[in-house]
Amino acid sequence: MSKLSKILDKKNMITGFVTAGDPSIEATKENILSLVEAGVEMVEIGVPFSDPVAEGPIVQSANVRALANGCTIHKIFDMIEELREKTQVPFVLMTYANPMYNYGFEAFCQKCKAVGVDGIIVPDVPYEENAELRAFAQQNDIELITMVALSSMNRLEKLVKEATGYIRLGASAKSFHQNKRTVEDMMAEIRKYTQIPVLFCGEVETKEEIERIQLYTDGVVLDNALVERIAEHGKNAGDKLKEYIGMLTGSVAKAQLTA
Amino acid sequence: MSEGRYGKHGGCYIPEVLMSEIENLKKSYEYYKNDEEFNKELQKLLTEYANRPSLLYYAKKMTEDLGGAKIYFKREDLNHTGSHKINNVLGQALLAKKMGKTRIIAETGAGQHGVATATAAALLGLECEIFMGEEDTIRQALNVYRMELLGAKVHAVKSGTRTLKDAVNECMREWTTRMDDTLYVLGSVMGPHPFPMIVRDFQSVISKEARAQILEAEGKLPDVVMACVGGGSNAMGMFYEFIKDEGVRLIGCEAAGKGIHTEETAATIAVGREGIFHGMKSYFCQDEYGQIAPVYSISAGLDYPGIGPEHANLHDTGRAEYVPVTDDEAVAAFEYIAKTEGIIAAIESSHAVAHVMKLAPTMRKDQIIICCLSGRGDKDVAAIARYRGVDLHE
Repeated sequence: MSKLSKILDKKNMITGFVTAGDPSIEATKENILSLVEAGVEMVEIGVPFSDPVAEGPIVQSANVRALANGCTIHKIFDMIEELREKTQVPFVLMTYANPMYNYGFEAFCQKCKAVGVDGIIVPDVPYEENAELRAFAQQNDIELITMVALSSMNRLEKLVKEATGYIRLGASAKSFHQNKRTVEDMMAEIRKYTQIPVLFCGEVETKEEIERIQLYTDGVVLDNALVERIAEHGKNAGDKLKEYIGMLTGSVAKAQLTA
Repeated sequence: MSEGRYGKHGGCYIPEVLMSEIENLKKSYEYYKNDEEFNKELQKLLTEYANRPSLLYYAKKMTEDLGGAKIYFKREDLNHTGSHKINNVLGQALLAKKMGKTRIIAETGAGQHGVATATAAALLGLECEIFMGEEDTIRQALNVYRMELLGAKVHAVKSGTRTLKDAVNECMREWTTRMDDTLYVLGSVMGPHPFPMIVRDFQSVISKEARAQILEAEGKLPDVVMACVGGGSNAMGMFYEFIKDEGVRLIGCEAAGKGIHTEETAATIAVGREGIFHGMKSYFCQDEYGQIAPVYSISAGLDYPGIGPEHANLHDTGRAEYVPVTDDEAVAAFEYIAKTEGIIAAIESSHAVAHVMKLAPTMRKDQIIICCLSGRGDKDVAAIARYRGVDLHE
């Protein structure tokens, strides 16, 4: 098991996603520290992009705000470097292909290693296109995170066989619940090939929703729930984030008892 | 290297959620493209419904007026729905039907592809939803109403620059939420493999006909073949059968907007850099950080920050040339071809006409240019009037 898989070798994990630079790099830095303090196991940091095709309206708006406020990849790398003086919680950068291609795949992976990024997620580079990127990531001890969807059933073997870090199962909470049978089948299929953690990401918010998803997976990535709180409270979102995560981690303890 | 490459360009860069459906499309297309029944049905639609073959028209007055090469126009503007878009749409809509889909969705810029898609959906009994940038729904309000008349639902896309690229984003998002019964009918030779190949195959009927027609009319191949390029579907269709004819110069005319030295341009080959976006590796207008640039052109159909991967490769290999044409030049050509030949050509196609006007006088009288008139310009009349400061009341 890789470093990230070992750190994340737990059940009922609560992890989070934030868009870097929304509303400013300084605010993102404080918000990440608040999330860490509240006990999240890992933070995914979204690199804002002009055309985030895989995001819903809430994260799209965060991307627009971040770019309007002058967020760049250089500022994000500097922020991560500064954060590493304060925390060793895993950081995973989520970026669309073009900003990374523009930086250079290899240079990007080297920089990730240098500033202390543990993994990368590239939503628009699927398995069939990722050989080059995977090699650069490996050379720099960065995990290239594998994304799977409810439509991936017939592709699972090749997708997850060599997956490292964690597997990110993306779906809307609604479709997750409408397709529980598919989710169960997928988890069984994934476990034939790998034991690394599976985290669900898909607009979940309430304790109840999260508890239900925890029964099938190893944890959740909170996305809209965090991004909306940040959109509402801006640089003062820290306390709201802590309060929210605190409420959820209570729920996780309960789920562990009843599972 | 993965499938669907044109040199280093192309590929299939899309979120995992779409991959199984893209595989399904690829397999279905590979099967039906060689299926006799499918090809018979498509041929019937093209000849009996879309009005193919389109004319290859000798523009005698323009030729004499410009005093150089003989000018021919491939009249895609005379197709049903008024542009080349119908060639691809009939193919993809028929494919959707064979795949058991009951609903098609599409992006549109100028509205030509949206109208063509809505038309095919009406004819073949498919549900249809069109995504169009809010900015374009204003520029091309008449086409919005036209699509609605044909039974389609039109969504005005309010994200990003509210133009063609945002319509593509939204259409891709919509597809991920409903793949079982829906096919995304992409309108240009762009996007993830297999779309650039499928659209090129369906559009290559343009050059297949034009090549035979010019041999019939002149007994020789043309010296230059020309077309406007946004994503590049009419150009790819116009070039394709001539690629192997090495003596034929292929020229794509990009929308330079207010000029390639301004921010307000959409000339991808002139100002873009290599990148990965909208499912493909190709050239894109982008800033120093790889953010896709908000491009501009008077023509909603060419107002796109990328270019199809096969064009990117034709540029790399030098087989085709790409030249920028400004708004001013295109509008002048729009007016010139109307007065000289009695043809109101689309503002998109007028970009190619503008370059014909530059090039023809520099060529000998025994040389031949074929220019693709990709669409008719009725949709643009109001915008051209506004451009000239004329106040129209209907």
